[in-house]
Amino acid sequence: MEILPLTEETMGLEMDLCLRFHPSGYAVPETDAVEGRRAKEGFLRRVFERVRPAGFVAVESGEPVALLELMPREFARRNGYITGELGEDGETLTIACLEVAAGRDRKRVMDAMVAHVVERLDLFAPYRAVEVGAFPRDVDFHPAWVYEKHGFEVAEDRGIALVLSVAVPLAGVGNGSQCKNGVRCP
Amino acid sequence: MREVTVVYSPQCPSNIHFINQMRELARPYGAEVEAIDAFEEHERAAEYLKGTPIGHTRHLFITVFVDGRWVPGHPGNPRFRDDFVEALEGGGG
Repeated sequence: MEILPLTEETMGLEMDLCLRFHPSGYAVPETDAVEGRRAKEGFLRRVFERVRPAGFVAVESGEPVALLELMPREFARRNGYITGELGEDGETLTIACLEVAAGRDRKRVMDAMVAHVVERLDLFAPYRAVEVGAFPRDVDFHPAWVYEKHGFEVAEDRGIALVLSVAVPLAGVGNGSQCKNGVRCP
Repeated sequence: MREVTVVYSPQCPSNIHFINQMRELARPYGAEVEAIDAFEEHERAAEYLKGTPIGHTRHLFITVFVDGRWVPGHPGNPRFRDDFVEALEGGGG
């Protein structure tokens, strides 16, 4: 499994996961998928103006295995994701989706994706924090355990949901080794 | 005539499909279906979402209102479809 930055070059693979390899087993008919891709592409291009890469896509044998997608908190809030109220919107990225393709070892792959993003947080400076709206139970979507395992901490406890957060290293502190393959560096 | 409002995130590429499914389900009831892109029309979307836990303890993805009343659940879930049809028929409290 190879984990690639989510950019204009890989967004098609990311959309394939949602449309063709969704963990529910549901595949969207191509007629509707075309319009869905168009809508998502327009949105992603706006995200890339603010953060690039906007997450990561895992692939194997040319097929998507997983995605981890983040965006400015302001964008996530408008899209109805659970977002935090602490800190500055302009300094915070929100993980919107962490999804694994049908038939894969979901827990193992989610673990690898979160580990990957945490190891590369310096890519996201000058943002100061990455947050996620997660759930304390062992749920399929955004389970808190996978984020807490990799250093996210509870910023806001809302009972049935948590806002978890991890700090982004200050620009220049990281070694910049991930700044390649067309990824814009801090 | 029932009014169906679908509030959705453009970030989920499957949502167009679910909106079309809602239109199919609503057609026999003569219901109008309006889809609101939460990102582009966030103020209108917020008017619908303010009475729900969405954004606070629940993620949006896509959600449906019948005559302004929230029908919880995801349109990809068969149980949701039963609840949606029940709301169209005037049930569900």
